[in-house]
Amino acid sequence: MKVLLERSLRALPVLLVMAMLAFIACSDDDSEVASPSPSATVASTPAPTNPTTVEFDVTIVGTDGDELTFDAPPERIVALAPSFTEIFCAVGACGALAAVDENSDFPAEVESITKLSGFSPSVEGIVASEPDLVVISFDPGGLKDALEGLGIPVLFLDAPTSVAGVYDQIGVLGEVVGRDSEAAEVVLEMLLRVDAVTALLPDEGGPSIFHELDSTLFSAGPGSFIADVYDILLADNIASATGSPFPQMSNEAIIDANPEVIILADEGLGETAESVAARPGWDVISAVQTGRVHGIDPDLISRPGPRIVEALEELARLLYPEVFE
Amino acid sequence: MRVARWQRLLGGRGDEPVREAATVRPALWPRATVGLAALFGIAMLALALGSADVPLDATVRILASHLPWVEWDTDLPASWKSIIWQVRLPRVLLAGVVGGTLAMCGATYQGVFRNPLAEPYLIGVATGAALGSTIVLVSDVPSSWHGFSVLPLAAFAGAISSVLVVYAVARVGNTVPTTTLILAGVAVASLTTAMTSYLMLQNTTNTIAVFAVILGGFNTATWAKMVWALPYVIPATLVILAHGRVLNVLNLDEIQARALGVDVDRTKLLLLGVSSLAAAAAVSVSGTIGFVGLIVPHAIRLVWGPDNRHLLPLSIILGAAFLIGADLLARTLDQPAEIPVGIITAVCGVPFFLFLLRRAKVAYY
Repeated sequence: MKVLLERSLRALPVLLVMAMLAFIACSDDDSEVASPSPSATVASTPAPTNPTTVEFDVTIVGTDGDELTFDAPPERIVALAPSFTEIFCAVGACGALAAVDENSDFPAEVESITKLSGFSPSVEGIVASEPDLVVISFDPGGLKDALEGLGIPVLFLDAPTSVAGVYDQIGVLGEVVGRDSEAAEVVLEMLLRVDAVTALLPDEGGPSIFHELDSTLFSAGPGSFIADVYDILLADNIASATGSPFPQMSNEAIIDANPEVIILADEGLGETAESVAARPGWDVISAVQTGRVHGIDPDLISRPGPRIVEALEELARLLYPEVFE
Repeated sequence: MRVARWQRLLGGRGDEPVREAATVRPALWPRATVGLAALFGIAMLALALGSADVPLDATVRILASHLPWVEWDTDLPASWKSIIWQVRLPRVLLAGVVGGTLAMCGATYQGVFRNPLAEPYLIGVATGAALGSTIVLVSDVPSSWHGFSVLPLAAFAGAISSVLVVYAVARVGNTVPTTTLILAGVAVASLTTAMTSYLMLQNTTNTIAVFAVILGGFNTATWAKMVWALPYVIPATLVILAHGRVLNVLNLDEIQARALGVDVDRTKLLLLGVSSLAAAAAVSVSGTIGFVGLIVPHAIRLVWGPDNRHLLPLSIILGAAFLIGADLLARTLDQPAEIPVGIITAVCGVPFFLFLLRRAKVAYY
């Protein structure tokens, strides 16, 4: 079902149909694409007038392959990644969040929600929030098993490997809280905004880029949603040659590849256009010589949530100033 | 060697001083020549190879052009000149300096402590340095300030503080007993490692940078880092090399050493101080790189015997060659990406070390 959902989200027309169906189905789950689900029959029954009368029966598959079934939308969710928090709030389920991870700082409503550690989560802290669903993207020390042993359902969603994977996670999380039509709206708006950008991109493609995650030259390569943003923007990511999602680039390989634009996702760590220009040997890089070293808000580009499209728009402006200014 | 074998056959340890040592002891220069040839060869290979495809003749021309009155590189692309002179050469040299320093410090610690496990990690130097770097990385202090990195300073401060704590704890009256020193070192190393892990877990945004410090590497090697490390490494090296004979005596027995007129405690303190200084400088420019300080001196002992007058210079030479080679693999095996060099030193160094250990079926230490 998940694969089907992802595939359907890749194509805008299919999504439109799906969104329409979702509206018709009046916030039932969007399992039209997965006919074996019993709720599909519910969806096809004549227009239910009151959503509360609709039987809620949603089955979700995490990226670890584990199935979770819900007969009611969870009302006390612990979201242990900023992207999950942003997705729940984007589909209007901010009120269902019982606790979020400490890095969740968007939207402003989450400020008052209990903060937990997402990187070294405390089982006790999570249980104290009395959750009926915990969503994690990182499972240190058998967290999932520990919580499931206590009867708490845990949904594991790995970091998506593409922007389409972000749409997919929005769809899945929207479905869980019974807000699949809102989720479809969010994804639809994202798709339209991405489309508006890609329609203007020149056919010959864009500049070569180096996306810097930190000053020891970690970058984003194939199989990361960050690199997929650059692929959508037709930019030539110099980390593509590594074939790995978060590679550490060789210093001399960057100078040799001579990127036309350098994007710094590590401005918060003290890196600036000046500090990059001051690195030994980097003065010969095209991006340094032409002043095309730019920072980007890591909260936008490094979180696989609804705001990834804002990062894409910002990067479009930086990569194609002649088109987008 | 022949003498050592006879000594072992007669029930000795094989490293008893020999009265006519000067006449029997093999000369250092053939071994040093072999070592230097290996070092030179591997350094040349490391300069010639890299993810950027700079032809060999261009590499030679760029290097030669930095000699006075040589201008052979005028027609070469500026990026090649940058890569060879600003990136690859300082990287190879820094790997050599760090490798030589770590191996020398390992040999010194092993000699002073008379403990085959001793190396910069054991007395908290490396882990203290990692803690210092981590504190800067997770705090609001910008890790570079006007292009000058404050990380080495922080690493250095962390390394020196942990060594001072270890000394303060281990000191009993006027002496520093080996056992307490090693126990205190292990305890402080555990403490600093725990603190580093805690800071890392607390601060998820900079995790990559902290991991890079813990794994160590030379990807961001610069001439500036060389300039930073050498003022500590060179004097320390001279002091340690001058103490080869004294270390041999210390290795026998402290009471015997005192009888021979060696101020045991002062000598131990001096050697530990300078080697900690050198190791801290090395860690501060490269992060923590394991196994070099352990494997290289032991490998040399297994092959050429435990005489510190040979062991110390050969450790420097072969430690440098080993780490330059490991770093060459680290940056070329998966190019244009990097593999953490600590993984290479472990994967390549440990099996070789185990092979030597298995082959030398005698108690060698």
